[in-house]
Amino acid sequence: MAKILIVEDEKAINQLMKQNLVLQGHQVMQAFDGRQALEILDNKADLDLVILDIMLPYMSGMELIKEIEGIPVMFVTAKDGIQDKIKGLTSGAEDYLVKPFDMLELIARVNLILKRHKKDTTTFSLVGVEVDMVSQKVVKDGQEIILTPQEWSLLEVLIRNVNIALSRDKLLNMAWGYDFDGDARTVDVHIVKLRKKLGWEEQIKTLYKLGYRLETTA
Amino acid sequence: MRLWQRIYIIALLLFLPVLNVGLFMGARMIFNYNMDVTKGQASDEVHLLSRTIVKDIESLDYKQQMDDYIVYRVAEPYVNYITNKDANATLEVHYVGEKTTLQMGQQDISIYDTGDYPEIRVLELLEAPYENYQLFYFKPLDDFYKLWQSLKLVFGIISLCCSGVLAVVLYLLLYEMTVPLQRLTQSVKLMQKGEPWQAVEVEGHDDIADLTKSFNEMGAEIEAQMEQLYRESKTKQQLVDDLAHEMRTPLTAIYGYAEYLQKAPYTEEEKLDALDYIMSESKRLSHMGQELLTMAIFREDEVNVEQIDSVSLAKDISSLLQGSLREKRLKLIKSIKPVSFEGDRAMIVCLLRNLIENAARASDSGARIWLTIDKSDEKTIYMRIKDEGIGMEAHDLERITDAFYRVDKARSRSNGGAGIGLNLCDLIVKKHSGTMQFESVPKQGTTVTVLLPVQIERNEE
Repeated sequence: MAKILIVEDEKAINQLMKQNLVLQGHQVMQAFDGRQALEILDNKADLDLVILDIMLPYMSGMELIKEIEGIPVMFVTAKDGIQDKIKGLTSGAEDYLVKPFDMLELIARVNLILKRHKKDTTTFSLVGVEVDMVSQKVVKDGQEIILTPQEWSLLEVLIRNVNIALSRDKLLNMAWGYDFDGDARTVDVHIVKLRKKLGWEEQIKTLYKLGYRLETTA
Repeated sequence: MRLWQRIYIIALLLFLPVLNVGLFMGARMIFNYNMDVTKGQASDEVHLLSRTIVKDIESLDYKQQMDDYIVYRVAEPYVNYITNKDANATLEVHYVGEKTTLQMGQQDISIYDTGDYPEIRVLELLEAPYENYQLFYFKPLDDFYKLWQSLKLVFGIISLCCSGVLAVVLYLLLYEMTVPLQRLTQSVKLMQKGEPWQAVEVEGHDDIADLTKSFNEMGAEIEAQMEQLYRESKTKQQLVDDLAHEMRTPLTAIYGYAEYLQKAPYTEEEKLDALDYIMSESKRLSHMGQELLTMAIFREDEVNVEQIDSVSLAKDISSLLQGSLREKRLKLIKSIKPVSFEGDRAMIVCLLRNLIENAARASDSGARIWLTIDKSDEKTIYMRIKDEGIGMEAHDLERITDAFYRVDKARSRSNGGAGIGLNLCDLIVKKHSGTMQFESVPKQGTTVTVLLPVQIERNEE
């Protein structure tokens, strides 16, 4: 769980990003213009990531990034020219997200930056199951549960994209890679195994026509 | 072959024969004249001698001694005299008897070609009674012909020199004359390669100078038009870039919320918010498309001129905007003088609606907006929209008619503006040959004044 500040003047986009990141368990603060962002930055220095729009009222993202020290910044903008990207990345930003973006892309990029700065989630717990993401150890009610490498990969993807529905194809690719020799059925089989081993019958939900979702709210 | 080279060759071909023929004829005339003089001299000399010899014989007075040899004897000193005087010349006395064809007192002068040089021969019969004798004078004309030959040489040299000088001078002259033409060609070639027109210096007042001047004017004109085209295409490119940029934000929101609804375990409240966003952002997109379409139509359309009455115009506007004004509890205060002017009603309505909507966007709820229409002079009417809203900084005023330019991004977007309203207004005012002025004080409000001519000048008629 990380503390993230979103600076974006479009209320709709700001809210959307917030909701997506909250799903991941992150703590999110919102600012709608440059001044507001600066105020939050001055008061709270314990942020893990700033998501910054470039075109902002009062103070542009380019100006704002000069004021930010020690916190990774990800630009999010509708400008997708090469020059804009280079300018964004050379100004000290960690990453550059172009609108329109995909939910999974936003989450993946955020996770990557957090991991790079060792601010990512290292433990995950849900209904009596403790998962250590670093040592890949799973403990249920004080007893360690042994997972096969395939099961572990699938579990990791579900945890990294918690509360988001993932299609079988997506799970297949994300967990085992594109060259994995298997089909949608393989995913179903492993999901069943995970549910059984972890006791997550309710938590790993089957969604009609969509796929599976690991839910923390259920 | 270049024009000047052609002219050069033609001029040389025409002029050189004339020059040379002239020189040759001149030389020939000198030769003939000299020949006549030489002939005349010889003839005179022979005639004088013939008369003298006859007189000498008659003065001898002893006719009895008259014999065949008396003529020779009398003539001898003269023969010697001739030889002494001119070593080449020879005088002889011949007895011809009856066989001569020559008449008495007549001379036969002729030129004989004898090998080295021609010689002059003069024959004359003595006067009666010695008409059986004839004087025969001959002299090779070597001096004369030598002179003639050197004369010919001199003329030849003169001819060659003249031809040479002429050729060189003509060459230089013609070449010099075509230099401006070559410079012009160079400039045109450069332009062909896409470089800007480089003005060619105009020299003198001849045809080439005229041509150069015309080319310079044409070059400048083309340059100006290229510049204009470039600027227009840049503006258009900017518009397209801005449009792409502007479309991304609503698209991101629409896609994002739809995806959220599909993949996330949303709450009821989240669902309603997401649907709200999807709807309002879709509306924004469609509004943007509509405004762009309106602009495209207005840009293409000719101004459909009709008489517009200010009172009915204001009535239309206020009924059109009633709903949105009431929503924000804004008061529209109208001060309309009944004036009539020419214009495209649809466009003017669109113009006023946009300006008032802008004023409404800048205003806080409960504020007032003033609309004034009146004549500023006989030929111009003005329409003024005044608000007491947030106002603008001076540097924003310069750019507000640019498409998608927003003074306060967050505020105007949340109020539903697509960002091309003023761009459209500007277009409409320009189409009516009017002007639009903005005055603004931050936090106090903005005043827009549109000046329109009462009568629109028609170009076609």
